[in-house]
Amino acid sequence: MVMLPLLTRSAVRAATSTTLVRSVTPAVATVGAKRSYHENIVEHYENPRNVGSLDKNADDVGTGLVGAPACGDVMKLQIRVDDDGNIIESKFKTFGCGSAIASSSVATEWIKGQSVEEVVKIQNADIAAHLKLPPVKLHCSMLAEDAIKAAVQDWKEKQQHKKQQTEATAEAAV
Amino acid sequence: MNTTTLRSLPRRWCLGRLYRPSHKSALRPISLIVPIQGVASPISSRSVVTAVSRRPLLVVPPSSNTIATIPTIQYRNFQSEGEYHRVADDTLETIQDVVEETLEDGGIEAEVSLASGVLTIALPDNHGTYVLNKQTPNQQIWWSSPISGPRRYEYKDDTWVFTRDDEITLHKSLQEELQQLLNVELDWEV
Repeated sequence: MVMLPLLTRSAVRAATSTTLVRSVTPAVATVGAKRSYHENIVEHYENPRNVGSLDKNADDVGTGLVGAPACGDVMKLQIRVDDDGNIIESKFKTFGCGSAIASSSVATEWIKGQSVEEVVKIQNADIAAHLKLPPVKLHCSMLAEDAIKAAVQDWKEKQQHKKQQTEATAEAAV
Repeated sequence: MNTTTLRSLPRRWCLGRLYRPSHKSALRPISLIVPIQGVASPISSRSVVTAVSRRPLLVVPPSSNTIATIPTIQYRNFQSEGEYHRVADDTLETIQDVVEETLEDGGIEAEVSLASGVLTIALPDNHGTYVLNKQTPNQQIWWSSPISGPRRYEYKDDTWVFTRDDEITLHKSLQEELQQLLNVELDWEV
């Protein structure tokens, strides 16, 4: 695992070399030779919101882990949900390009205060449009959408499990 | 991939220049598949055996805690990485040729370029840009479309199919979308 950054970076390079090698300062076409990201991406990249972790073992926390290191991006997004099904806290950790970081940062901001039913409706296109992601970076917004859904799914499974256990206990008591 | 591993990696390293691979052996493919739970694995036993025997296939065991991931089909239908490159390069070159010719015939000025496994089709009149690129680690072709957004295609039964709906093929998608956008008919038989 120590070698991971090296392998990952090279894998990305090998896969989409032209585009991604340039992605140090890439993508949105502007006048002249200088090309840069849209300010919304840069802003989230420079000041990522909600970076961190929640206790993945806690009953009220859902964890979504998507992507694969070999492909260049891994995104972990976590939510803490209250008894009414509303997301009260959200954290992320992402290893990937600026667009992937910005996408997950935006995602955590958007889902806070929303219900779990609402947030699964967030589409990658919404995130891409907000950040003005260039075509080659749309995959990053897809990863963020997947991460939200995976986190909600994980939380739901925990609730289901908890419910079953409570029922089993209640039955045993009778 | 557990939390500790994630934490030990530098955040934002993708934009750093310091992490350039220093030697070629780093390019050797290591496959790492994040566990997919609650989904019947579509990988046939034959392709698993092939993949395992040909390369170190590192599969992260599911941790005791459930980490839900979105169902994504993971096929490995190539005998070797060389075969993947051959088929994928061939696919992108064919698409480039047919699209270029069709648009030229239709008098549509588009910028079509293929370099290092990345096919870019920039359409005129704000119709947007398609980017199709090889994704070697998982032997896919990634697709970015102004209509359908990001998708991943995987090779199955001699064609590239959408990882979330194998009824949708790469060639058919492009054919239908360019028909819709520019009213041109791509003919793959030429």
